[in-house]
Amino acid sequence: MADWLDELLEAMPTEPYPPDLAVQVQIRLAKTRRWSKWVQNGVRLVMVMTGALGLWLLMPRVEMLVTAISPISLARIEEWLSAMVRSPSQALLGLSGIAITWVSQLAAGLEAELVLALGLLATPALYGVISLLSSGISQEEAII
Amino acid sequence: MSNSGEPGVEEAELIRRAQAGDPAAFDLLVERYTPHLYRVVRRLASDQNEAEAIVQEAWLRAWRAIHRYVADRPLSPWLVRIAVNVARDLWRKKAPLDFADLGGEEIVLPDHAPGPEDQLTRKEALERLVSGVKKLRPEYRMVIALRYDAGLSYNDIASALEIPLNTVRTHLRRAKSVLRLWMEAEDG
Repeated sequence: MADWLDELLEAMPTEPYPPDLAVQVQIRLAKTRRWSKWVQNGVRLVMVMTGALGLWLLMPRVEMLVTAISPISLARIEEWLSAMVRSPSQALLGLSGIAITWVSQLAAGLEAELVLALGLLATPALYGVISLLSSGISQEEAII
Repeated sequence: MSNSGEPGVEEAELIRRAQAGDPAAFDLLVERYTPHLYRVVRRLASDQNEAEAIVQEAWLRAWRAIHRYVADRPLSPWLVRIAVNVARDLWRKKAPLDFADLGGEEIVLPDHAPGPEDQLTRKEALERLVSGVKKLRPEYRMVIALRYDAGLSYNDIASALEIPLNTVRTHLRRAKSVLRLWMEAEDG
């Protein structure tokens, strides 16, 4: 129930509002926007250059990668699916064997430059994924 | 401007445009809401400079987070909540709270205290009330500011301060109880 104190609290005076405060906020916001745009463009440029460098290093080694992947054919997938229907455990065991063989073949053919190329390509990809994920954070988390 | 209700059509459009990254729309929201936000923040802050710094930082954070704001909710409680968090961060950086704890003071009541407005002019009573609010513990002052300056509901206060609804009620009741004693003691 409202009483004299409620009534006084509702009428409580405050210091006069500084008339230029909103303008100060707008100026600071404009500076922040300019700065963040500059940083964003800089990061994007670095990511594009990183990706391009990664592609440039990767191009001569594409053939090796394709050779490593070639054992995976439609006939083999069909064969594996039939095996899966007959005996799932055997099929999974077979698949893990194939995967291990493929990874070891790939690892044997890995050179420092290829690793570097993959790393350089992964960096912009990771940046893209993080950007996408960060835009999906809930409003509650946004209250910093 | 609607402080606690749903945003109007024009305001909702401004928010939508701001969320799409339109700086001009956000600047219009700044113009509309800064006086209200300042009023609330000034009650929490120790001086005008601190209040202005909190308001500015709150708007910067709001700009960064506006695309995640749920547009059909009122904007004011959301802004107030950001400002409260900014104030808390600021106080954490400073030395431990430099506010007097009025709640801990012993206030001697006169035996037959007449109603304060019987003896005081309204202006004097309001001035005394303001000085009493300044001496409240920060958590009490916050609920007073959010309830009476921001006009927030108990639920919005609980959400803004991230405390249970019952704690809001308790803080508000205790704050008013302390203020009532303060007013009556001053009067006596």
